[in-house]
Amino acid sequence: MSAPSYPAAGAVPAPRVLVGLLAEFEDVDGVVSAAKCVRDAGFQRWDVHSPFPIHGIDRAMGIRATVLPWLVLGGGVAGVSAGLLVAWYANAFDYPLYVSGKPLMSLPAFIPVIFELGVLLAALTAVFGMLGLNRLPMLHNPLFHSERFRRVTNDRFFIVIEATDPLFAEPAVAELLLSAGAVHVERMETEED
Amino acid sequence: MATVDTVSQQVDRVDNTTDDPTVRAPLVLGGKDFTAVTETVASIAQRKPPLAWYIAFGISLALLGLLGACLAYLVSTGVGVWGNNQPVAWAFDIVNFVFWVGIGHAGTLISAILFLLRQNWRTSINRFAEAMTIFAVVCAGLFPAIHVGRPWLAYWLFPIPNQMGMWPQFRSPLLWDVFAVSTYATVSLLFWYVGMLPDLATLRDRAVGKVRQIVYGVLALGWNGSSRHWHRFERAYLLLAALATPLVLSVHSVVSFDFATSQVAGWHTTLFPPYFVAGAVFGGFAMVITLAVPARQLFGLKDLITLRHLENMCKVLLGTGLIVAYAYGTELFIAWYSGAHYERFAFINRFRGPMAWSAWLMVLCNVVAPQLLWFKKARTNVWVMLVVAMFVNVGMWFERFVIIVTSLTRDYLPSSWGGYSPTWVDLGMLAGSFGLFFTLFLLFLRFGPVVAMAEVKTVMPQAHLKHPTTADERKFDYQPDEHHHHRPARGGHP
Amino acid sequence: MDKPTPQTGKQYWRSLEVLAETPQVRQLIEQEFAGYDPAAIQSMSRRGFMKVMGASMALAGLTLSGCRRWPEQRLAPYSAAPSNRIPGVPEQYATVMDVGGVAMGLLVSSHDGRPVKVEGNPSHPFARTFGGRLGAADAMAQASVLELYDPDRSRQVVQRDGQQSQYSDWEKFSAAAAAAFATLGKAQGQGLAILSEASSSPSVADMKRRLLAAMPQAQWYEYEPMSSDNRRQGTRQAAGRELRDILHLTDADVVVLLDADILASHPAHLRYAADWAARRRQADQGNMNRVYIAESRFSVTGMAADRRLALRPARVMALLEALAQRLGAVGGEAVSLSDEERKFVDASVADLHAAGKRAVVAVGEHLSPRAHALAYAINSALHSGAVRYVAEPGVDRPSHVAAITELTRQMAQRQVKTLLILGGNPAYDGPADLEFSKALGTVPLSIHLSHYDNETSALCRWHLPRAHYLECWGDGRAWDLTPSVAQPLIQPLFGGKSVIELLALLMGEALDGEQIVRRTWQSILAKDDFEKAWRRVLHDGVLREAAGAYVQPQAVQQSPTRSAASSLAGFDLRFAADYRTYDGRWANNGWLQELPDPLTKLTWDNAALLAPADAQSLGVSQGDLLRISVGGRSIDIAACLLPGQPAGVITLPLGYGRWASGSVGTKVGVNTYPLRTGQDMHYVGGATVKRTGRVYPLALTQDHHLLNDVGKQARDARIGSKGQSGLIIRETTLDQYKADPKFAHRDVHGGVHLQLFEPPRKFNDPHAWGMAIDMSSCIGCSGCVVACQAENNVPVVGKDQVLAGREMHWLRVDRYFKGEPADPAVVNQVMLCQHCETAPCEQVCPVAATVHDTEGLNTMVYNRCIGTRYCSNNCPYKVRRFNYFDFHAKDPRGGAKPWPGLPDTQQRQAIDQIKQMVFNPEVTVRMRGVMEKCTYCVQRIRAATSERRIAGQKLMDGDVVTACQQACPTQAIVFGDLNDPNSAVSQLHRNQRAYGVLEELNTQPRTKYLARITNPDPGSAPAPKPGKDHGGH
Repeated sequence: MSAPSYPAAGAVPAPRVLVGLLAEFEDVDGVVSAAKCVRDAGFQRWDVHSPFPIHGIDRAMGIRATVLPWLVLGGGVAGVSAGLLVAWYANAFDYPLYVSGKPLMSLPAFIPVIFELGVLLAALTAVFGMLGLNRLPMLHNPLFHSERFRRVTNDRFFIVIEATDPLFAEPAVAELLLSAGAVHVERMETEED
Repeated sequence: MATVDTVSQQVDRVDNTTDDPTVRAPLVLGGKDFTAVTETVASIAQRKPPLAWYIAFGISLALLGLLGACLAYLVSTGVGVWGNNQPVAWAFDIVNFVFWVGIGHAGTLISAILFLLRQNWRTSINRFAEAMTIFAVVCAGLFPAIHVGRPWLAYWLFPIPNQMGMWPQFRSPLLWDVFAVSTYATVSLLFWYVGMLPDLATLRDRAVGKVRQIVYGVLALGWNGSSRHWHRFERAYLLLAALATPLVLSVHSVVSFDFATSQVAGWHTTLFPPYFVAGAVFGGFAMVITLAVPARQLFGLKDLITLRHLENMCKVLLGTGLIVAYAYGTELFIAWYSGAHYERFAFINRFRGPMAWSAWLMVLCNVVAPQLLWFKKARTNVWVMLVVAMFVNVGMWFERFVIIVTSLTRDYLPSSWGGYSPTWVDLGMLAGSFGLFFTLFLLFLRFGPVVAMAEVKTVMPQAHLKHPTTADERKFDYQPDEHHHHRPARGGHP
Repeated sequence: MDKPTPQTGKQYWRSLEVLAETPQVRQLIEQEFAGYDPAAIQSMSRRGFMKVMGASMALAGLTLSGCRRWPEQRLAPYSAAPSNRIPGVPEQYATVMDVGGVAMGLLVSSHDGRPVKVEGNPSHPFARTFGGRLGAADAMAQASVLELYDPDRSRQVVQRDGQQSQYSDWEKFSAAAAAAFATLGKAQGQGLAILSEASSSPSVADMKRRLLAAMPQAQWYEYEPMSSDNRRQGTRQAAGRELRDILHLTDADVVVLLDADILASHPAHLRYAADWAARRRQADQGNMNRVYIAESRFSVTGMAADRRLALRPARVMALLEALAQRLGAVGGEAVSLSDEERKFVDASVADLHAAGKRAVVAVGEHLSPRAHALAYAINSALHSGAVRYVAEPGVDRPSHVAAITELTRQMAQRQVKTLLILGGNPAYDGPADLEFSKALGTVPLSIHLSHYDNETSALCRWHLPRAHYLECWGDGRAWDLTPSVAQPLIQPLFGGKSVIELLALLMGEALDGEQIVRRTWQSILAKDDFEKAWRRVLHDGVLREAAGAYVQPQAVQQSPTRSAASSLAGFDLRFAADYRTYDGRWANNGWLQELPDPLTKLTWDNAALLAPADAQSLGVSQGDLLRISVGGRSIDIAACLLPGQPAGVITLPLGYGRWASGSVGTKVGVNTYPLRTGQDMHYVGGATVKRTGRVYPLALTQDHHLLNDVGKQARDARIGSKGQSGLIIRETTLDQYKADPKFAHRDVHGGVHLQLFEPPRKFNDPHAWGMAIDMSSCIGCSGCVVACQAENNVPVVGKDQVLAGREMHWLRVDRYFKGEPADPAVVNQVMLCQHCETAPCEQVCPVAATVHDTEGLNTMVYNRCIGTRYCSNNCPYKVRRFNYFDFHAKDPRGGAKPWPGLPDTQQRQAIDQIKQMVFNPEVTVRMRGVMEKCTYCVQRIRAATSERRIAGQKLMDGDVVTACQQACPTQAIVFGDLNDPNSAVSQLHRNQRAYGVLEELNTQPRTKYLARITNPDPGSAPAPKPGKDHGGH
């Protein structure tokens, strides 16, 4: 377990702003138990980063269920209505034509299109809703300054506690994380702007 | 991680095709840990590909060129360059369309339905299958667009306000196709891409060289593995799967409506939707096997795409094959039972008419060949399954040929009975469509994350809490028994 | 033969001003939008602007050429607009076309100076359909308009000297001719010979008289490959003078025909077909006629006959002798007959006796003089009231064969110094043994007047372009000698001259065609008030009262029958005029080349028609190339199996294998003239047949795929057994019809129609168009097919495309053989768009390119069609046709070529501008990739309705006549408004024989078929159907 790497005092080249502390863990159990500690310590603005979804982490962090399903439902309803509307408008209202002696509004024949449009809009909502709620795409992120963080997409687990958290007090937080089993803790900084 | 290592020693090179229900067979072999998985998959996109890849790519590009030449000739001269005629107004064009759409089904099916059914073995092959889906749908989409007499007006199929103030005709199954296939293409693409996000991030974080860093970086959309992201990501993925499942079933049902709702004897059969869907899955899985077997060999993915994965696919192949065989039988029975002269003749003609050879070839490939897979020896022998899969690929193409062409050659009025023979352009475009498909697929093998790393990791033992503290977390648990890796797998000991 | 390439085509201009290039015009051209005010647009709101643009785009969309310019045409600007001509409104002119010495009365529609549609003249006794409201024309006459605009027609005078040949002009020719004829004139015409095709023209006869008067030593010969000289000789034997027989089939209850194809090949076939059908239509009154035929080929009349016997030519004669003996027309030793021959004679004799005055016997024009003599004797013995006679004109001339034989002899002996050939093509169709061509080469000055620079022209010193009959003045006489005037509808396109104009030129008479004809008619029309009578003749196109007077000389006793030991060794070859190219004169006509033969359904070829039994014994199958040899001559020709062809007889259609016919007809089919000698012009015995081992592709439009057993079973279930109903063909005999009037509605499968939807409306506002087709009176002559092609700009696709199964005919005649191949019955079913009320084609079109209108028309919107071809798949009648290529632009003899430009510029740029002139401006010319089909001639519906609307009148039944209905000599096709309960079509739809084909599919077709009723004698009637035999169960 390496000690937290604090930059030596005065050796700060440019004035940098502390964004938060980044703690690295080696395995699932470590990060999950640490997450519980952080949660119990009452932090608000923090997060766990992992190469794959850790099952049980939601509980461990106390994440509340997302509203995405409701958005998707809305998308689906919109799609179905759009399908019904366009079929009716095109074939029964705007340019009615007599086809095979069938009624102008041949609902049964319109159902496939209506269904497909419903699925299409629901799916689009699901994807773009998810990206939106996740604030993605976000190509720039202070996390990406950390060399070690690159392994978050490979085999390592991280906990980030942001400096903007009301309870954030740098040494204490570092202590907490180390005691929770972090193998490494580092400061996340960005240039002053 | 001592435990992990010892375990990996044990399960190393183990036969994971056990049928013992009390034993959970590991889905990843070779004692891989997370890094190893990442290495195996990501390095494919980073290493220079083997010589075989270049050869295959060269051939595919040549065929793609042929497709381009045929297209130019077709559009500048007229669809008469094909063998189509009256009464056989649809032939290779639509046969190829239905064939490729069918192929396009296994991907989403493996991803979505197996995901909903918690079939963890899907994780190693779903990326493959999804890629295959996308590229197959690209090929499929090509044919309806160019089979029309005036391809430059094909956009009239979409409800775009136009100078004629006219709209498409929503009662036409062809229009349903337009919506079904384009929806399917879009959703499959999203499903594929969303699933790929974390793995693109992996490639980004390992990328060397500016170009790759930028390309993968942009494609990864700045994914950083946040658990809050993962939470919404999994929910979105689940919803997509839930949407894609009825979609995949609907798409081939709609394709079958082209025939089922028509007047042609041999086409208008209420059996078609389920029969076509089963056939699509059948053909799709055959294509996945055809692609996966060589690919795992070429790119050393044997430990991820294990024999068990292949065997499971063979089981699906056998099952769907039986459904298809049953459908053939039902068709014949109903034709006889209907007592309708024209209906009966359509099927008598199918198996005893001038084109009977194609029907019998179809039966041989789709009904007889898969029966081999009843035997475990066949299911666990890559060569046998490859041959069977090839048979099925051919058989499924001919199934569509038999349904479409044979039925049209002899319909109601004997005066207009005709025949059909393809031209070199027909054959060229069929071959060319394979060129298009494999070109895209080989590019993906070369530059993409061919296996869903993040998902594979979730099904690895290391991904699970060893000592769940509270009951509620067990409830969240992904794997029912989390201690399987302590139990020695059968035959695993020296 | 070397043909100089023609000089580059004419310059086309859009108006005389443009040609003149006046400054005003240039100024106008410079400021393109004359009188256009930018402010108008600027002040316009965006919406308004979009509206205008949308409208103009929509308008542009209405034509296939999009918003591009119309194809350039040669305009004929009027210096002074003629009175009572409305631009855009077609006008009809009466005229006649002379074929083989008999004139056909025609009515030609002209669109703004362009003749585009040839129809029969209703006021002409031999063109009017029974009832006289419509005029019928046969396929050849209707297709003649395509010949008018044939770019291959000769455009210049050609002068040849051995192998040298160069383009010349009329001035040079007349200079040369004047000199030659001056010297000839001095020599009384010594050394001058004229070879003319048969002509019924009084003016030609008059010019001939004048020429022979001026040059008494000149020889005038007449030759036709299809000659009626045997009848002339026969009637001379039988009645002491040469007669023409005119059948009055409406008065005949029993008709016995011996090798007489009176319904399709006879010069009077239109009138005969009309009268025959009048008696078939009385099936519902139970008053049908009965037709027996014994023939040595399978003819259209054979398809329509009630009892048919296929015999070798010699046996036909024997049968006739026996018939004559039994009817007491001739004595002599009894003829030995085979069993079936005897049955045939017994039955027919019984019926003839029973019918007495109301019976008639007719023999084929080609049969021997004795046959004609016997026929005359029989009819006079029967006191038949169904045949009349007029005196044959031109009795002074030798027979055609004798004439050309004599001429060839003189040429060979160098007695002919100057030979003038007026039309015809003897180098191609002359008797093979004469070697006419060789002799022709030796004539110092030979002149050929011809539509094409053809085989004969190539051997002549001079070739002169002949004016088409639609380009020049002329006249002619019908079968009963009724005279008519032929008036031009257009200036000669290529500066051709007519026969009379050429004769006038040669005789130094400064007269044009009109003056010559008027001069001739001075003697025909009443002297007083000539102008009035002349104008009436021009208007009516016929002078009814001048028809030949009927004569009935006493029958001379005929020499008794002598049993001629006819050898049956080898095959008999039967030479017959082709139903499409006739004697070869129509070989360059795409419409006729692609017209399926009524019996074989063969296009773009002739073939050796072979009985299936003979094919079996020879080991020959469809398309095998045969070597047929007789008298040391032989040809290689493909075998075409024809059920009903008499065993031991091979029919060889003439008129193919031309080698200088033009880009369409050259080297199409096989020339069968080489087997045809002066002695045996119609058939020859003792031919040998060998297989060459090669196979030749035959482009058939039906049965192109030989049926295997399952196919045969299904087909038989659908068309029914001989004389009985099937699923799609309903037919029975007259007796069974009387017993079971509702027979046409038995055995209907799936009678219950579950209608899922209520239709949005009845399709009857303001009219409900419908059609009825009577299968009892259809003879399958296929005149309707050409009529539809001409009316609707249906393209010619070529043999390669027919082989691929892509023929474009909107209307086809489905021909089904029933029963044994040796003795089949034939049913013809005219098949075209049925205009189903619940049309399966409409619901599957993704772009609404085919939809229903309020009057029940299944409309096809070409410019909306993108060509998915789904509608064709879903049409159970397979009547939709797809433009796989730009067929109008495609060379029918060559493959389709890629078009680099914009697809819809192909029409304008790739189609020959002369060819474009034949297009009917009322009908869109479809481009590549578009589906098309029968429209019920919607353009005719619209024209008739708007004409009535303008006149403020109500549309009457018979105002709308579709092209096929118009052309049908038997009135088998009837079209009209179903809203009017009294319209002909409504009455036929109510007829108990009326049924819809495949109506069990609930397509609710607007076209109904009237079940076929035949009237066989009890001896040959098929046994009644045992029980309810459903084809499908």
